[in-house]
Amino acid sequence: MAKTYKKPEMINQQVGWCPGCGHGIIQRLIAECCEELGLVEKTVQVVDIACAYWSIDTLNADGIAGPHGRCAAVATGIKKVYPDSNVYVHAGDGCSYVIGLSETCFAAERNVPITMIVVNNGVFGMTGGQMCAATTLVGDKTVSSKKGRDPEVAGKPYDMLNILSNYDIAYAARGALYDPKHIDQTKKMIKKGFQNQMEKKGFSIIEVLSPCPTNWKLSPSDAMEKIKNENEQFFPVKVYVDVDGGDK
Amino acid sequence: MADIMFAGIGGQGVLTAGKVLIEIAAENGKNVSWTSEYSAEMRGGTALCRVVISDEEIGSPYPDLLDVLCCMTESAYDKYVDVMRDGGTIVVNSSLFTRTDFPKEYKVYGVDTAKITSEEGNGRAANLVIMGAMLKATNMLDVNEFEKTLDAYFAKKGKSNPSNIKCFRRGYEEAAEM
Amino acid sequence: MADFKLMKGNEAIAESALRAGCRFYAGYPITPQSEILEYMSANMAARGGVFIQGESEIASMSMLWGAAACGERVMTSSSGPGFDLKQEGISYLASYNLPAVIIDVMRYGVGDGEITEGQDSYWLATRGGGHGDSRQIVLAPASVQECADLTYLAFDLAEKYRTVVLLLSDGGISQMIEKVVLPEEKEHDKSKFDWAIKGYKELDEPKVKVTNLDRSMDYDEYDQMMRDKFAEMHENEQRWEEFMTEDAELILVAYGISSRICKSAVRRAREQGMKLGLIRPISAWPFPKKGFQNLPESVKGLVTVEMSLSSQLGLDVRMATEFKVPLYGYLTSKYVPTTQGIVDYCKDILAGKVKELEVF
Repeated sequence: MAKTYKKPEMINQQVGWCPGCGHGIIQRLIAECCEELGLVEKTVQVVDIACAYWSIDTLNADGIAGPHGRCAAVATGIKKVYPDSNVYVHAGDGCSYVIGLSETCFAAERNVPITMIVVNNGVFGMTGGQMCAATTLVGDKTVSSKKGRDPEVAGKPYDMLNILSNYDIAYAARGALYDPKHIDQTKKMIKKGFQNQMEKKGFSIIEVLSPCPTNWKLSPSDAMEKIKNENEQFFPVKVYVDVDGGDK
Repeated sequence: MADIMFAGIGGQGVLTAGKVLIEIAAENGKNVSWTSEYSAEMRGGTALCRVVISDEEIGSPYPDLLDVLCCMTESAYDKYVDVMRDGGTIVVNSSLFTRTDFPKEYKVYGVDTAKITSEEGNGRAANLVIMGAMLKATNMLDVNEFEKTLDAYFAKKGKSNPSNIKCFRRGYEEAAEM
Repeated sequence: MADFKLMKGNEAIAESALRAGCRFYAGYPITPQSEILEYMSANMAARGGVFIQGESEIASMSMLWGAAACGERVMTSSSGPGFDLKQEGISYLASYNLPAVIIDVMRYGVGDGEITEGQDSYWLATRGGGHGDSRQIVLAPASVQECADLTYLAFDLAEKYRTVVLLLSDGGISQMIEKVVLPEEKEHDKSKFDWAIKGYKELDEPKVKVTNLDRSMDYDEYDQMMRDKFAEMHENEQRWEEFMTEDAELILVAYGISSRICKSAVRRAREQGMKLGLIRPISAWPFPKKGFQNLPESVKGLVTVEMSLSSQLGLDVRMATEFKVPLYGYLTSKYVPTTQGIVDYCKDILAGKVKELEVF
């Protein structure tokens, strides 16, 4: 029998992401996880002032958008006031790994039981597709690295989950969205992140390899192919840390 | 009522002397203020605090004229003797002073803190000796009342020690006009 | 004097905040305000609140933004270059109208300056708040008692107007020990605000979206609301003290530590037959214009006494007096003014030896 997928009830407004963008899939996975875990009423979303910002209105939950890059710190403030709520961050790689590197690392250092969902799309999306120090691959062309990222000038990207694995945290994993299997795997990772939070196990971070066809100047399907063939080679899809010792 | 300075070098307890004094004066119904000169160094260097004790509302907590100057070192004396009010009182730690002549317009008392603290086996109580001497020189507060409050002060801090009181009392008794 | 304690200004600020129901503090060490952070680290947990030593002033402000959005009574503190880093957060708090109390214990100088007493962040405090034109109530204590009283008041004002309230202290006032009678302990109910994030919401309850600007209304409506709020605060929250102004020839204008020296100068000058007075702004913003509306006939001039390079108060005094009263400035920058220095300067003014202050 064919399975019918319905839109999660928690998503109650349309949103304005570009066609083929991964943010919408991630938003849907978040909503599905909240519903399946019975967390809808307890959820507070923290979004960054960038592409993730659009998610604030679409979700039927209290939400907050803070200064660019400060999501982990904002979420820390909320979680400390409401420790029983499901406080998650939906933010990009520029927010979480570049301007907000410090905030992300110190949320991990304090092992604050929040769930960070970081969209790795290799560019600063909302500002027009500039290079992202953490995630733009060497050689990738962006509007601020027109001849391709030159490591002599701009250094090399770095795998933040490797770095965060050195902290005493509950969970770190990377998912992708380029086929249903990976979408399903990513959903399990997000769910695990929320469960960790509810069980007060500590800080969880789920990074998602996500396409930005608009700024990559690729079709949605070519963007998915690029992730599979190029980005995933540098940013492996796997579980880096699992305090419960699950499959890595 | 009095603008007072305790000055010396770090480790001589001059800041504590000021704090003890305001505590006791405040218990006696006075208005008080205590300020220190703080610097980036955590240890060593000059240390001083200014104490104002008054029956009226205190204006400047940094008095530019002093009624009482308690010097733990001669360099502190050299630096601050110029801001004494005429008729003011100077109390010097004679153990560390070579100078013997003092301006006539001030009342100068000296006490040998090193002798008293070593005899009492309380090397950290030089500040209490000076306070005793200051009380003798100024008659600012009743010595017996002061001694009682001092005892209570140390008890409250969990640092009750009979030799503290003894050092204070000997400072009072052995201070002599110079 | 009933039940006084001897405390440093910084300690009085911290204890008073706890008594006002402050249950969230995040900050970063910097002299001369670190006692506030240390006091909170030692005493917050016993009140059931949250203390975080942040990784930076910026992160601390972001934590504060999160906690303030939950309706909690929140506070942070800093000084000098650290207060610069608070500006991003102040702008955001102002944008969504979140209440918060922020302490700036001023120290001397541009750049890193020095850790010693200073008063040169007046402009930053009264005109600041980062980008965008928001206004914050700024209260300037001049004693340890006022450190306690104004901190306590700051939380109420912050909630009344949904605004950031700055306590503009300085190294002199904050490092000084004086007697203080502490205010009563009170409980704060963080769930009473309809604008705040809640930890739990039924599906059909309206949700709160704490964002840049208040997007529950359009831009014109928002702008008008903000203008009305600034005007209301300006009208209602001017605070000042007048000291021996009735027959004064020269009136000193000073706040914080400088105002304390001014009081001694007024007394000393009067012993010598020179009639000085003092107007002490307690609110630096709104500047107490009303305090300058009925100056006595005897006044020949006003004299700001400030620890700054340029006269920062001068512009406010000029505006309050509509440029009609001669104005002088005794500016001591790195050094706390001395009683005699002020008295001598005023003698020189009356002798016609001092040029009027040009404010720019």
